[in-house]
Amino acid sequence: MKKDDFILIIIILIIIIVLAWIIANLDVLFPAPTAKGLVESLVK
Amino acid sequence: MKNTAISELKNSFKLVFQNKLKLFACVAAEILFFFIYGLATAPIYLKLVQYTNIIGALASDALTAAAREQNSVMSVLFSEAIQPYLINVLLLLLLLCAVAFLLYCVFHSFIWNMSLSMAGRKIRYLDYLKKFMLVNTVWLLFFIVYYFAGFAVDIRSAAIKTIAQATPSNALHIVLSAYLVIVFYFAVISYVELSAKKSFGFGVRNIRELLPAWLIIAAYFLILQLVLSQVMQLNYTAGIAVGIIITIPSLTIARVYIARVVQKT
Repeated sequence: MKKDDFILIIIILIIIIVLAWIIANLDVLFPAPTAKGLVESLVK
Repeated sequence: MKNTAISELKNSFKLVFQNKLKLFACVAAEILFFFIYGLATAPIYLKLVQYTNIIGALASDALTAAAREQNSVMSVLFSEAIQPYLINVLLLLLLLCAVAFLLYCVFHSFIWNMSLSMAGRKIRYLDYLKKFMLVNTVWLLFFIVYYFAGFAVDIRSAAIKTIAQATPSNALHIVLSAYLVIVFYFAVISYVELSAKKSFGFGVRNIRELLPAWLIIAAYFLILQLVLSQVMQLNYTAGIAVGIIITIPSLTIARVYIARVVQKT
């Protein structure tokens, strides 16, 4: 295996792991808006 | 040269059925792609729906006020109340774009590499993947333009329907569809030529040789669509099953066919 092939595989694997982590933690990163938050937004 | 489209059609079928294992690998990769794509993007779409619903609810009041005060739609979208949700929507779209791009490149580079190999052009998978990713970054930019233009056209149509109480014309949708077809035409050529720049010159120069092949593929899928919709009316499950069994191998045959025609032109 060539050196740049190895680098490509590692980069793709890292991107896959990062994206999978983001998707698994979507509720934490993008919390569902609460009624209180919505009312606050409307008051603004 | 004129008969390339017809002669290669016969050859493509022959080549695909001579390489049953590669055909099976392509079909398996295609099904796996749809499955993983659905699994990975469903939570993102769900979040997008949540946020766009909130933006819709907040914007309807703000738009009425903006219309009274003659403010622009942009000022409403970037107002203090809506901006955080809008930023989240943009981040989610970026995430969706990254996931779709990665999955598309990994799976479709494999499928195209197999199809090219059946068509008589063998390239190492990792070499092909690198070039496929590079070529697709160009097409991604064209697709982003299409996506946002489509979004603007949809907003325009909704505004005409609600504010002017009129029926918007379909002209812009037709223009956008034509744009997508043209981008798709050059993209497919670039998957064989492995260069976006070359594909433009090649596609324009050889349109007379390539167009019959495209028309054959389009006619085939149109007829298949019509037949499948009839079967689905009779029995939905049977329609889906027949659709999967016929459509996915047909996609591989179409790829081999177009690869052969591009190579022979």
